[in-house]
Amino acid sequence: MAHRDRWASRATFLLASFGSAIGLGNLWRFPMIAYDNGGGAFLIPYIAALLTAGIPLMMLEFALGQQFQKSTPGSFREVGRKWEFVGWWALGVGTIIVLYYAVIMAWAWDYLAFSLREGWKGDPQGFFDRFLGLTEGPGRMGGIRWAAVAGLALTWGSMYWIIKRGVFRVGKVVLFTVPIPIILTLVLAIRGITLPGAVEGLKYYLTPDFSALLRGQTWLAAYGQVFFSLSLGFGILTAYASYQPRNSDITNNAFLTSLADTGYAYLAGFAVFATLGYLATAQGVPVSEVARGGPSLAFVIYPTAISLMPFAPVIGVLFFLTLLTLGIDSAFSIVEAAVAGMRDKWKVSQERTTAWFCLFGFLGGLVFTTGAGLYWLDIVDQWMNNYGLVVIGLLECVMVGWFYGTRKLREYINEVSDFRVGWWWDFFIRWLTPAALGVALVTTLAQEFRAPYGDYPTWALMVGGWSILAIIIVAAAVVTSLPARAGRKEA
Amino acid sequence: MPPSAWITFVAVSLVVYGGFAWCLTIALRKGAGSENDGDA
Repeated sequence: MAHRDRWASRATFLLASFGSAIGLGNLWRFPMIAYDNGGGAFLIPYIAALLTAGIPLMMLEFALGQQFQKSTPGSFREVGRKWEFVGWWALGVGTIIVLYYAVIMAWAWDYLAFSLREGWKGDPQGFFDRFLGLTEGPGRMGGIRWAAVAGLALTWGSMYWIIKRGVFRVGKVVLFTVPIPIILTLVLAIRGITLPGAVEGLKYYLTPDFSALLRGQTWLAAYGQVFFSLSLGFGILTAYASYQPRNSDITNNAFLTSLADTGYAYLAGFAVFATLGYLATAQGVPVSEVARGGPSLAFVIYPTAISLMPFAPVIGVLFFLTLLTLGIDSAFSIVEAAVAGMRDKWKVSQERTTAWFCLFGFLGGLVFTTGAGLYWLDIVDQWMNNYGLVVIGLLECVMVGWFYGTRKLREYINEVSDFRVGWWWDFFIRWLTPAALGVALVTTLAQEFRAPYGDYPTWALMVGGWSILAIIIVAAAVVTSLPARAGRKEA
Repeated sequence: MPPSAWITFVAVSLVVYGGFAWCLTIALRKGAGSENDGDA
């Protein structure tokens, strides 16, 4: 058997997994979803979803990679030849996601530079108008924004440098990129809590509204957030686990990764809502008027609040450094998973494959740097997450639950793990997790038929949504049909 | 802050950070920091 790269230690593997799971969504999605779905009460369905779907599925992904010592398509092929296709589909969806994820990081690079001279001060709304040059709709591209292109080059350049040496360098980089955003978020949370009005924001975040638990939407939001937040369905966790020795722990690693992800998201909520409370108090408006998630939170609302604080440039640098370090390890984990898939199948060079992938990523991401880029980003994101990743998660459950056999995989998991899992794991993988993902999928589809997503024109949804999904599926089928290359890997 | 918010804060912190600390303790007992040296 050919030599396979190894993580330096279990701690390194865990840090890399934490880095992959903890991303921008923990900071700008989780707190807002909690706020919209019962505040503190949302943590009940969230933890339930974590225990019944997130952790069981993470154990499945870790176990496949570690047992078969192959990246996602190769591990899935070990279950059955036709399943390799699902592995390539996962990597295809991840590849499209990293194209726009890198552009968000490019904006963070630019805003980090602006922070040094408070470039947004007095005009935070300039993010949409002047910085993005946002057009009237996805049909008017509006030309390329060169500042974003420069940030994009920096992002892909950094990822190339990190990934070209494989897990050896990844293991060293995560020693910095995982603790730094946690420490910085703690600093931002403490800074936020000590500001006047912070308590008003924290009330919105923590006060439980238990009536929300009676709404199906709250539970769907919890399952959706757990699934997207833990990097499930990307093929990353299987690839990362394939660099662990076969006798390494699985259950405790899955619990640690999931709890680290949740713990960070919970902490980020304090930084976000304390700052929103301060901003609302300073502007004399209710917190609900300034509470927005996604890029609006990171590039409009937060900079507005920072510009009102003492030492604004310092806080600005800390905040955008947090965004960058949060995003980079999630982004390069997607690239590493894709490169590992190609290396395993065709025994190609890590460095050369990474170079070509990064070049493709840079060129492919240019469309999101145009004046219409934010619209396309929004459409592609909706389709990749809700139709791409959810279907992959569903197929993974079917593959292991109904074809490979949960009992067989559970026996392997129990053989190597710090603590054992019982029959409940089989039940969750065979029934509960696919049911939750199936309901989420049908609900999103039904909403789509009732009203087109985001009021975008149908042609834009066809191009940015369904067509890209179709291209990924065709590409996955083509790659699956190509013959593998035998022999030793190049360095 | 209302008492329900404080109770949420304490309960969620205990479950999430307490759970993480407990899992970490088990991992450290098994030698999470030790080097990977191949299959058994």
